[in-house]
Amino acid sequence: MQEYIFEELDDEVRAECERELERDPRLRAELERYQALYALLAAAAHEEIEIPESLEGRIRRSVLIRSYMAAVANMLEDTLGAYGRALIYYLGLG
Amino acid sequence: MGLELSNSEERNDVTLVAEARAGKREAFSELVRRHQTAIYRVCYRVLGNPEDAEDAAQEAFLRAYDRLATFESRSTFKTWMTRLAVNVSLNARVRRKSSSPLLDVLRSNEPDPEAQSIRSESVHELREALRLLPDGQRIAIVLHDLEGMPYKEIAEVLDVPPGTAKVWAFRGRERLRDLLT
Repeated sequence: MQEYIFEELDDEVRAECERELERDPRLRAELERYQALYALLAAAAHEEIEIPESLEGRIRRSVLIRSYMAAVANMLEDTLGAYGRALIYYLGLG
Repeated sequence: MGLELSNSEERNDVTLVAEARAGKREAFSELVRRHQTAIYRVCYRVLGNPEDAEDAAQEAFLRAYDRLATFESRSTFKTWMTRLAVNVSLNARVRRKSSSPLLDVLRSNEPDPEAQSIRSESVHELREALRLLPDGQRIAIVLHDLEGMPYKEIAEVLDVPPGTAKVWAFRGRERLRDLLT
């Protein structure tokens, strides 16, 4: 039924499906249920979703913090060697 | 007019990823600007409320920043980013298993207030029903029916064969039909 509504059936199968639909009221009722669902999905797909203005700034700030932390971790590791690595692990910077 | 493209418009995502990997934060900011709307929409549709969706979208981009080195151009940046957003959203959903309130008022272009009310209520019910589906079915329907993504791309996001993505969407719709009609 879904393939019929999405027009994914080849001509022969589609024609057979339409003959069945004419004969069988239960099948027509089933088709109507799917059509109602697709109308609902289409309405949901067109729902306007506004992106929060704050999102881009939040991402930029978190990336900035992340990159500074990485830089600090690298610096500690470069200057303090094994102690630096231990400190990075202890501080949770790695 | 069209001939004078800015640098950012000329650069494609792969170039921007390479620049971001080399440490150019502005390149990553451009990727965020390009994809934040699509990513937020996916998070919102999976999670059902704007606050959780904003948190999940932020977390997804931060993961992307951390994992830029693992991005391979076998899939597009958008597909890769969508995969991260879906994973973050599903994890967030597990953590907040207790249901969070959905938006009650949906925007609509429908001029008739009564029709708008019926439509809003129905879309609200659809979102509630979507939450009852297994993760794979829900994501397949969100990405295909609501976001218009082809099954081949959905398969890449979910890391399953395209036929599986299609079957999940079919089964999900069967379930929605039973729940809603």
